[in-house]
Amino acid sequence: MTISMNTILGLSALLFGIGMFGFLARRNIILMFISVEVMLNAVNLSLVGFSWHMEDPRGQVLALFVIAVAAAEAGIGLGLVIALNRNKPGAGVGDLTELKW
Amino acid sequence: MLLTLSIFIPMLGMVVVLLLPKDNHNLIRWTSVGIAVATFIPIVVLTMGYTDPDGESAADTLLAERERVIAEAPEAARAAILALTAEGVAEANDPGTMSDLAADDERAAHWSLVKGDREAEAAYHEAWELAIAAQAAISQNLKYVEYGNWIPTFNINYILGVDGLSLPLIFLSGLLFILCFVYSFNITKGVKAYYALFLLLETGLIGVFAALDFFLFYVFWEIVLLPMYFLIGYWGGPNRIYAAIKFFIYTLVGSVVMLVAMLALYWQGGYDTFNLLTLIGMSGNFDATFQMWIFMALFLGFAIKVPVFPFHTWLPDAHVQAPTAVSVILAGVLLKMGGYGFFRFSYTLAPEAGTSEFMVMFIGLLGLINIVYGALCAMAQTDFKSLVAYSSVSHMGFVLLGLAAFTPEGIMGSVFQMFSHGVSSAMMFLLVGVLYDRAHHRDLNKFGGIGLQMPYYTGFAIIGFFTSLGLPGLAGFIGEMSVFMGSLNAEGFDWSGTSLYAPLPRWVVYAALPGVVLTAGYILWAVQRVYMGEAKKEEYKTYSDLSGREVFSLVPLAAMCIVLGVWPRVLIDFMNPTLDVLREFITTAGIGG
Amino acid sequence: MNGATVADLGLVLPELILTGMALVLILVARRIQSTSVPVVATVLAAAAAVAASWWVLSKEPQSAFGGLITVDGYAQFFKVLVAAALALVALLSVKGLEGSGAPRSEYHVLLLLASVGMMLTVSAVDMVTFYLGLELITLCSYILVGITVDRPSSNEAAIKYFLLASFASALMLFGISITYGLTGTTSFSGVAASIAERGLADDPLQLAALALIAAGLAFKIGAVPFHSWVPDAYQGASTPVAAFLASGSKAAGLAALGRVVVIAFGPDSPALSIILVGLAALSVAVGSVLVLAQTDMKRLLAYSSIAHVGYAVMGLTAGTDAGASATMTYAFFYVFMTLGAFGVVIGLGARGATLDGYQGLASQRPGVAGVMLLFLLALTGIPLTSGFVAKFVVISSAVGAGYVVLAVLAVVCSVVSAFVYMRIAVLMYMREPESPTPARFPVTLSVAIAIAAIVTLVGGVLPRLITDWAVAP
Repeated sequence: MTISMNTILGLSALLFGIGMFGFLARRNIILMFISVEVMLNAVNLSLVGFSWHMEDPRGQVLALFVIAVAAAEAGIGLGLVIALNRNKPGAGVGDLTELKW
Repeated sequence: MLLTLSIFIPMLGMVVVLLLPKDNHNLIRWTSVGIAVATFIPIVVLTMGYTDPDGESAADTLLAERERVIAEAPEAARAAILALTAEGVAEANDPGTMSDLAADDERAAHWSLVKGDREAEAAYHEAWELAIAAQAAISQNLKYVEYGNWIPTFNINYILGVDGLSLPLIFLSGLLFILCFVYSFNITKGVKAYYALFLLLETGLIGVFAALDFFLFYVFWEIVLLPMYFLIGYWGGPNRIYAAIKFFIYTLVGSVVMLVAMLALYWQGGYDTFNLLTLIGMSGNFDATFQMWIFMALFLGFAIKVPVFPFHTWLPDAHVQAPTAVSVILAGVLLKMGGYGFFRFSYTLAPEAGTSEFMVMFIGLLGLINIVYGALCAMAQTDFKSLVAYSSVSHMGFVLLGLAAFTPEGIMGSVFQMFSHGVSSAMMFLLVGVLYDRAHHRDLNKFGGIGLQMPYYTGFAIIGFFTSLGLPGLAGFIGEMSVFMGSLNAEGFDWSGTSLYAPLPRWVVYAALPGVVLTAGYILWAVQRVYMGEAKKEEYKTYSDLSGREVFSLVPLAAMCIVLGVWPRVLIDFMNPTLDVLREFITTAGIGG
Repeated sequence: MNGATVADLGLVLPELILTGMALVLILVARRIQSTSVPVVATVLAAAAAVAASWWVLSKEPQSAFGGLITVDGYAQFFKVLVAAALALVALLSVKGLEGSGAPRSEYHVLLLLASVGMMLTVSAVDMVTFYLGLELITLCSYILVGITVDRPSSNEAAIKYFLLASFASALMLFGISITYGLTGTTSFSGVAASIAERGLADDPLQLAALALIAAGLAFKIGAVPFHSWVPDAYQGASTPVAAFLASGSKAAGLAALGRVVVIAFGPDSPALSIILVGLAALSVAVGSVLVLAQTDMKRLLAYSSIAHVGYAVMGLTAGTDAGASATMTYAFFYVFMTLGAFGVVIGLGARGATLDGYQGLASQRPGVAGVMLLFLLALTGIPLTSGFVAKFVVISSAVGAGYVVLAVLAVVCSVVSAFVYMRIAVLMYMREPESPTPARFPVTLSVAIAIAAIVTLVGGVLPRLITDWAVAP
């Protein structure tokens, strides 16, 4: 069974859109972060799909890199959230008001 | 070499002054005076030698540079470059169009020897630039040209040169700085920084009048801005910071617009050069709309400096707040940068736009407004210094009026007016400063009877103010008279063979005539209020007359007021050959002549 | 496309030196008590990296790791710039981190690794390395911004930066993925060839991908409308970190943008030109206007950096080699002038943090006021400072490309922003001091500021030293 390029693109775009909506609509730091992860996975889906479709390994290689970077990002992001929580327990994005012009 | 010296001696002097001990005020003062005198010496030598017909002309220098460039080019391309940039053929061979040549064109054979080799192409560009510049230099009567590469990536060169238009202004700057340095001996706050900034200002001012590369000119133009800003902002009166920032921002607006015009000339003009002479040589090829834009942009930059209504509002603020010596330089030389820019840049780079019907009328009307409005404002002032400041606005209007007329007398009067206003306004600011140092106020209505107490001072004051008034026999009269005669003659002048179709109408000039009466009014009224009558305060009777320092600053200026009034030919003969060729070039360039 | 060989490792010697030093510092982190060892190590590593990048390019430009990176004059130029920024920031950090409680060794490790990311980014000619380099910079930057864990403003800045940056990365990555799907390749030159060959220049999908990549990069360099993190991150971060973000990160981002524009999407792409003109115009205008409202020095310099990025991008609007070298010149000079200004801010300590602290500085510390004035003049763009040359070359290339309106906007905005720089000059020179004379600057800081001042001044008088070297890829 062959899946067309457009199907791959459409599916990943849909997933990407869901993630983007989540990022823009949510006000919880962890949920916003997870939305970004959804977006990254949408990209991975498209990369692997294209790669498979074109029989070219580079997309999959890039996808592996993206997974690794996303893991590092998750580690750092959660660390930052913990540091914030120590100073301001239970803070959401709405509480980040110290820096303003 | 002498020009470079006169530009950079002050800058070196600034470094020397900065190295002197901070508290030894007299050492700093006398060193600075020494530097100013050392700067003036090469200027005097240049001025004396300028009329010598045997001196090396600008065209010779530039052609010699062209030979050098060709000699340094890759050997294979030398003959081709020589042929392509020969006299009489260079105009048709601008580097931008060379690549589109038809194969059967004989120039294409030459070009094929140059093309492809970066070094050869660069050498060709420079040789071409110099060939055109050499031809344009003839129409500018330039001398003492110096040439060197500065930033080759953008074809930016170090080109200096002077003519009968710029040399008098350089002379005036050199002289005024000596006088100001001596006059400023009474400054006690931050003496070292004061003189250091003043010396930097001198470098900038002389550089502006000597630069023949647009980029170099722009750099000097901006150098002037900074020391002026600090001199007003630190040593000025109570409202000095406001005045300094206003001055800075106004001038910066003008200069950045000029920067865009400069870049447009570089790129849109298509010749990839900032060499003013090359651009002037090719200015006939710029189309009318482009010229109009260039003219307007440059005009804005220069008009703010002049200052032309409605951009004049920074001037009274700056003058009133500035210390005396700064006002002297501001009125004496700084305003002339604008007027000089009109002649050297606006009209020569966009001759067709400058002689168009719209521009003649536009500039004539602005001149009219400046004359009448400036005089009316001056009349309304109660502050002595702002009266003098507004009189500058009014007097610079004559420069515009003469320019708009474009007759030989008009142009001559306009340049003469710049010079004589430089002398008389400098003198007036010194005179106001002398009084302020004693009374510590400048309210016209509170003075009176100074004449009885300070007879020598009043004598100088009469010379200075009456020069400004335009009394026959003094310098101011010659300029104003020539401007009026020249501009009244504009309609009757024979314009055949030129691009000027619509000369300045007479009614503009008639409308400006009341300005003279108003000038007489505010000056006589001020003189009467300050010097005549009874002393309004007891303390006025204790004032001592001029000190030696003050006399030293005033005498040369008074002498120039009288000499130029009685024997104006000294200056007229000096600058007329230049103005003639300049005028000829501007009025005929538009018709492809 | 051939595989990697051991010889390829020689070509990434500068990166290897920095990575090696980072690893050494991690290993000995716990044993180091003094604050000066990591600084010395970082500066030495940066100097070695400069020397190495010179040694590497003694031959012809060449690519390594199967065409993933290249070593050419462009990469060398930016590697030297990044290493210089790294060394200067390390010197600034001695005083800048005093009493902040930040772990010194780890801090320098992160600086080193971020610089490795910058060096990879500037030599990337494939979207894989391009992405990885940029991510390495951002990952290190998150931690650097949040490294003072006890300060709530630092936490806040780090979180905001993290959320927005990861979002922007995702956008850029999606653009990369679409481009890969359309062109079947990830190498820049391959993308360009494929776009030309398959006629994709007007393909809506390709335009969308281009917009996504441009948005991601605009975010990295802090160009309007993707600038909102910049002032927050700068203000929340400790000052040397802000200096590093303003200098090294911007230079690397601009270098990457330059390659993307000139090699991958540049040739005959009106869409890209329009995007870049928009970014440049908005950044210059918004940065110059908002900088007027600032009273906090770090925020002020942040908005100033936004405007300056706009100017730098103007060079790329032309899409030509000359334009790219104008941007290179701009990046080079901007790095030094902004580091110098940050250096003075750091040196003045608490007093330097707000605008009022500069009141009467000239009478107390004439030397400090003098160099600050120099940097302010350079930021304004006054001749005989490098700032003028930088503005001149980019505005010139915009006019050359026909964007005269953009050029007029740029010069008008430079006048607008002159207000704020001159206001600092007024405070320093024309007002009486209200606070006690600040302490003498430590030697490390003075050296860093002096280097920045020399580059700013020499660059203004003899710009050909840099412009001749700034050759586009």
